[in-house]
Amino acid sequence: MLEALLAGFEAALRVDTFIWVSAGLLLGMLMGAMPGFTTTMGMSVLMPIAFLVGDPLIGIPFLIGVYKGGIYGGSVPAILISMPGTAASVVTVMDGHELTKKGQPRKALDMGLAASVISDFISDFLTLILIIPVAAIVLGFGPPEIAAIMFMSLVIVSVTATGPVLKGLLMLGFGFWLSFVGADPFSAMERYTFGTTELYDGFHLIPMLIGLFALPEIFNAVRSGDRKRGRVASLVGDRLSWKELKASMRTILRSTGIGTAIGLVPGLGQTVAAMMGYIAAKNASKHPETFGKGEIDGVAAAEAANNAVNGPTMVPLLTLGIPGDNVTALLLGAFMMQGLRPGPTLFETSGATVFAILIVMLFANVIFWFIGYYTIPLFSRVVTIKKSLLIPITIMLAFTGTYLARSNPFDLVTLVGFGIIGLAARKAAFDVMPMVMGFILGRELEYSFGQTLSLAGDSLLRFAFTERLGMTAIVIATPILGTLIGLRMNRLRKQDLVRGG
Amino acid sequence: MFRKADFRLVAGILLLAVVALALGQWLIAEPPINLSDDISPLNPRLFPSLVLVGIVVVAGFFIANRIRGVEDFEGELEPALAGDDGGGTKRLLGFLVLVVMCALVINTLGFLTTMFVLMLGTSLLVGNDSIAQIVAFSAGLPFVIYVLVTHVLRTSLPELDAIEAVLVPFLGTLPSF
Repeated sequence: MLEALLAGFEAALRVDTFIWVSAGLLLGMLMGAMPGFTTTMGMSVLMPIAFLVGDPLIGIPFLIGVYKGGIYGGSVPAILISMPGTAASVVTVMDGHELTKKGQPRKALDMGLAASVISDFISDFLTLILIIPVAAIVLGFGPPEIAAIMFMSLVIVSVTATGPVLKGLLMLGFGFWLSFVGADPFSAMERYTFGTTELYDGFHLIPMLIGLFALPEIFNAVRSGDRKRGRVASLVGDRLSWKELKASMRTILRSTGIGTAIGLVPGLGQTVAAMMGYIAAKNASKHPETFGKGEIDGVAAAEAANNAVNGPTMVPLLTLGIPGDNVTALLLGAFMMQGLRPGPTLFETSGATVFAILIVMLFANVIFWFIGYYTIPLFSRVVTIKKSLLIPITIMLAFTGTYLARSNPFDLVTLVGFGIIGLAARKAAFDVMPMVMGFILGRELEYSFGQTLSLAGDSLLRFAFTERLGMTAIVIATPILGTLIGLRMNRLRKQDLVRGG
Repeated sequence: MFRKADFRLVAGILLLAVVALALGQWLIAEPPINLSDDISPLNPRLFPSLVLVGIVVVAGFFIANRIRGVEDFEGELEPALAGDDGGGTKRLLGFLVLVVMCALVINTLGFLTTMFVLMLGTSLLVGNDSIAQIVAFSAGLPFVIYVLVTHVLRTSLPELDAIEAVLVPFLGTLPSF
């Protein structure tokens, strides 16, 4: 494992990789800064670029740049016009926009950037440390354990998805079923192809991801039309001083710890982290009454916590193949399109590449600081760009990216089809993430299960209870774990709704 | 509205699952000869059938809960979908027709023409009222993307021979990467 880490360090030191990370950061900030344009949408539209460049040490860091930049970029409209660019910036509005009203938007944006970069750097470093022992443990897993872990991942993702557990399970089943379209992995017999050659290889992942994540946003934007936005406060006021940053360091570190812990648990995500970081900062403050009235520590707490989630989500993603949220589900797809299958075997087959990606992710924070510092004035202007200009560009990028995946016009039809499914799912408050996971892991699970059956020979039960106790333990524990988490999640959701009125 | 939307979606998935289960033997081909367990340890129909049964059971539970009036809590409604003037739905339907048409004709009309039509139509539907801006963006941006994809990424895009013939002299003047 340490050899892979050292090889990864060497592989990471490439100029072109850092150029692409910078491009990703800039595009991510741009997407995040536009109200109504989410990080997920930006990543799904830009994913074909990562696929086309073909090199995982360029494509994946590019998307990670979009991810990091997008989460920070969301704080720009949150602070300037009280409209969060991404869900993760909801909490930043509370004090960020109050600071703007007090004539200090520049200070709030500087603090947002500093807190984001510091927490991102620390949490990425912790990710690198944490991933080594976890990867070492899962390295000994074979097809039976892999199949069991995939089963567990799918159940956990379904029960932690937004909305009731039944909805999550239904979407999981639907995605799972769609993954069977095409040739059977063992006998290559056709399934649900209706005799067409277009469906023989199944649905491609790119139209599915763009269709489910980006198209519903575009449909919504078309439906709501162009709305006039209020004037944006010019970037007046003092910049953040070193003394002020030092005074907020305790808050930033606390929020980093909270965000890191939350990032390790699939399904919670940036918004929960930002809320918890903010509440913890308020409780620890000597002046809690100033929170919500333009307290700079409030901005630091929220932004540090939401950015600290980014790195640790990679631990369950890379070692077990479990994505923590929509963005990491997209990253899972990006890894797979580059020929890297997140899960127990990833570090065995591509350890150096994965460590290189993690090291690039760590160093990207330095670039993040410089780019953010010098481009804040530019991104503060971005929030005023008209939707009627952006939507046509986005739909063109979605079409082009989908077509480029395999130069098949049929994929454009499936793109629109998945877009309609995504829109229907949104309208009915169904989370599409379990569907994506079911689609990505469905065939893999079937294949691993088939391999397990081959290994087991005549008696699967004897094999399970004598030779593969690890697999058996995971399979038995999964429904229990799923039920417990599901009940807890349902209770939390109900409480939230009651509280939310 | 919300309750109907999720009921309709679940009913749609349930119907799809029932049809796929019923027609399973026609929709999934079986190997013409018996393959040994080492080559094909799983029947190609096994996993799809298990998943479809699972979908039917879960969807059945969901619908039964709704019919019995078991008060499941409502999830969050998308703010953009919460309220709608009649114009919004018309715009959306118009946009759907536009994207489906563009998806179907891209190989016939070529990339540049299709993207021009797509961007022009979308701009008008979203409410951009500056014709000069619409035309400039709809013609210029697809061209930039075309050059980037074909010349920098060296990947082909569908294009009419006539348009390609016009573009070749220009593309030849660009530095190669």
